[in-house]
Amino acid sequence: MANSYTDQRNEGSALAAIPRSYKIWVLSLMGSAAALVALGLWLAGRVVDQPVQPWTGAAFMVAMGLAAIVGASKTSSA
Amino acid sequence: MILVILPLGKEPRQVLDWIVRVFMYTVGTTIGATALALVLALIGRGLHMLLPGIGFQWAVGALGIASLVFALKELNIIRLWTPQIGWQVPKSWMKRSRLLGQTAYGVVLGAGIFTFIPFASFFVVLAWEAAAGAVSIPAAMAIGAVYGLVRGIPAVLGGLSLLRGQYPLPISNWLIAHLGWWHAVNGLALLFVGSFLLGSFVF
Repeated sequence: MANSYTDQRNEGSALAAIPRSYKIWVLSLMGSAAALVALGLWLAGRVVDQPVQPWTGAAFMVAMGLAAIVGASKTSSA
Repeated sequence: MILVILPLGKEPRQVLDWIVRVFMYTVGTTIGATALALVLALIGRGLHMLLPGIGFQWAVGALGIASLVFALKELNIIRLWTPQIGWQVPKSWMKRSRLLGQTAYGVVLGAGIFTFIPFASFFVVLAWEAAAGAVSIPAAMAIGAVYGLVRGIPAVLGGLSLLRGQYPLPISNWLIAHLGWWHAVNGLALLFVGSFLLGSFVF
């Protein structure tokens, strides 16, 4: 019991020791991730009334956007 | 790569020479990526002819799941092995002709599969090209062309910054130093793409 209490206290102090900027970064990332998942699902529900065809409409634009992001990112490593 | 294609001086002749080389490099990246997209599109079309019973919705669903898994890898939540060659373009290609050498650089780097692949989202783009190409080869090639064109643009920006008196090495270093950010951006993009594709599959 005492060990459990000590562990919990250590865990609490460890969380408190995390820099504020890092917490903001993690929360921003999680928030952005949740928002993008919601946006993707909303877009899928709005524009498609059947399984999306990867060569048409919104799916094509999403693919082009992903290609642009990947191209820009991969350049940073070349 | 940005530093390889810099203008060698500010004389009109040298600037013109650089413009031609950077244009050819960007043409090369676009051609390389588009050619690979064409190959993948033909493979996708071949698979569709061989397996007509498997509808596109299943390819979309598989692509959606793959996107979400790769997103976890990009966000450093899981470890996942991905195939890559890791070859580096030899400098000897530049010996005979800088113009031809840099165009060849562009073609190889634009294709993307012959060198390091640090971003898992690249595989999703390749898979999407194959899936799209099964029905529309021009659509698959357009996706490849966008990727290749964007790969060439930083060389143009690097050269332009030099012409304006700003040496681009700090920019290049900054890009490399922020690799973690690019992975985060890729991870978020994959979350969006994965949820979009899976949502399309389910709804």
